[in-house]
Amino acid sequence: MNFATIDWVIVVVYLAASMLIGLLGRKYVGNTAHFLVAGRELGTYIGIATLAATEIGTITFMYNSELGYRYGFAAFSAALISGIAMIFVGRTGFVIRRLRVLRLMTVPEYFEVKYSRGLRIVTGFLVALGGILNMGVFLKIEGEFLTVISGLNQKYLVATMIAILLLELIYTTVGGMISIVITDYLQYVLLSIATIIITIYAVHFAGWHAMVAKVTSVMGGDGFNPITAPKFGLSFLVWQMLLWLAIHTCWQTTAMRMFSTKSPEVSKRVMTWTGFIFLGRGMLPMLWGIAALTLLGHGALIGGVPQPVVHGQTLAPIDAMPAMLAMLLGPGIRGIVVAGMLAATMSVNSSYLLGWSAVISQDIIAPLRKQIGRPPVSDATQLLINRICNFAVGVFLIFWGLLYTPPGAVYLYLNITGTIFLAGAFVCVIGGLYWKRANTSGGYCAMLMGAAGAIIPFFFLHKSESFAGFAAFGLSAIGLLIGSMLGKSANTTAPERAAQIGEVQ
Amino acid sequence: MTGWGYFWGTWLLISGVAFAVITLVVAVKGFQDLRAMFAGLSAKERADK
Repeated sequence: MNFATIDWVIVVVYLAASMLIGLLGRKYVGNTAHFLVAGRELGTYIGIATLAATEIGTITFMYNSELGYRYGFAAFSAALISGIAMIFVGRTGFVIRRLRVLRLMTVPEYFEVKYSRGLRIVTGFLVALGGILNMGVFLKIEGEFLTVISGLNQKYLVATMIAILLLELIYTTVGGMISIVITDYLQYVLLSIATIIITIYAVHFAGWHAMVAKVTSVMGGDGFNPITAPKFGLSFLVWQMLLWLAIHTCWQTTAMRMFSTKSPEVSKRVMTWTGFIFLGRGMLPMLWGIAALTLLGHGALIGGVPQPVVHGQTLAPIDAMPAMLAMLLGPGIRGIVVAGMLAATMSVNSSYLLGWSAVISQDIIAPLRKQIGRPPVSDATQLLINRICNFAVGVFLIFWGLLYTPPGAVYLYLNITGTIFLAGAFVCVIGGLYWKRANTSGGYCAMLMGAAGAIIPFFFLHKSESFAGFAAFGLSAIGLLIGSMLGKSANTTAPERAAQIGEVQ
Repeated sequence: MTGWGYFWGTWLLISGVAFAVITLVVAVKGFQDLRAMFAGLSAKERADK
C-alpha cells in the first residue's frame, strides 16, 4: 500500500465535501431547464470552470500520458490541434453562437428544429449509444489509475469505483446541472492544482534534457515530427482538425455548457479561454508520459518503445504515469494529487451521466411519445424521467465499464467511437445552419453514412483510425449533399422552423 | 535539440503558463459568478411564483 493515513484523510474529506456541496444544488431545481441547462445563468468564469472540469478527467490524463509515452513529443500535435480548434470556434462563434441563439437543451433537439422529429430520434439514439459506450471505458481506466497510484488491492477496486459512481449519481440525479456546476468549480480548482504539482515533479525528477534525449534515442526524429511519425502523418492531422471542430461544436457535454451560458457572447468567451486550457489539458499529461518513459522505460521493446518496468514488474504503457507518481510523490502530496484526480473523475462522469441521459429523456422518450400521439408530460414528470434515465445510465456504466477493455491506444479508440455519431451530427448541424437546401433526406443519409464510414473500415476492414475518420466525415458530407439534392427542399431556416413547431423552451 | 524540439518546448511553456494563470483567475472570479448564478435562479423562482 502506497497511501499513508494523511493521504486517506485528504481523499475522504474531499469526497465528503464534494458530496455535500453537490447536494446544495437541489434547492434551485425548479424545472427541466434548471435541471439540464442551469436556467441558462452561467457567467464567463464559472462557464470556463465547468467546461474545463467536464472535459478533463483521470481518463484524459491517462490516455494523453499514454500518447506521450508511446509517441513522444509528436503526440503534442493532437493537443495543439484541440486547443487551436477550440480557440477558433470561440473567436468566430462558428456553430455555437447560432445554436445558443436557438435556446436548445441538447444537440439532437436541433435535428427536429431544422429537419424532422424522426431524424431527431435517430440522432438521439446514435448519440446516446456512442456516448455511453465511449464513457463505458472510463471506469476501467480510472480504476487502473487508482489501483496503481495507491497500491490498493485489486479486490477492492470494483467496490471503490462503484462507491465513487454512486456518489456522483446521487448529486447529479438530485441537483442536475446546477449541482454539477457547483461541484465542477471545486473540482476544477483541485484538478488544476494536481496538474501543476505533477508537472513540477515530472520535470524536476526526469529533467527536460533527459526527456529530449530519451525520445531522441528511442524514436529518433519521429518522436518530434508528427508528419513523419508512423502513427500520425498528414492524414491524421487533418482528421484531428475535423474531429476537434466537431467535438467543440457538437459533443453533447460541451454543447450543454454553451446552452447553459447567459448569452451567445458569453458562450464564445467561455470557448475561447477554455481553448488555452485545452493546450495544457493535452500537452502537460503527454509530458508526464514522456517523463515516465525517461524514468521507467527500460523493458523489452514493443512497437519500438521500451515497456515500463517498476520493481522488476513490466507494466502497460498506460500505467506508466501513475506508477511514476506512486514512486515520486511523498505522503500528503500523493493524497492531494489523488483527490485532484478524483475531482477530475467525478466532474467528467457526472457531466457525462447528465449529458447522455438528457439525450435519452429529451430526444428519444419525449419525441417518441409525441410521435405516437401521447400528450406531453408535466414538468415534474419530465424531471422524474430525466432522473430515472440518469440512474439507468449509471447502472449500465458500472457493468459495462468493469467488463470491457478497449484495444490499442485509448485516445484513438475514444476518437473513433466518437466519430460514429460526430461525423454525421457535425455535417448535419453545419449543413442545417449554413446551407438552406439541407433537408431531412440529406440528414438521414449523412447520419447513417457517417456511422457506416466509421464502423465498417475500422471494425470490419481493420483500416487505420485516420482512414476510418476520413471515410466517416467524407461519406457523411456526400450523404448530406446527395440526399438534399434528391429530396424535397426544406426552404426554411432553423429559427423559422423552431417558431413553427414551438419546440424550443 | 532540433527545430521541432524548440517548437514543442515553446508551446509547452505557453500551455503551462496559460493553464496556471487561467486557473488562478477562474478560482477567484468563478466564485463571484457562482453567487450571481444563485441570485439569478432565485429571482427566476420568485418571478415564476
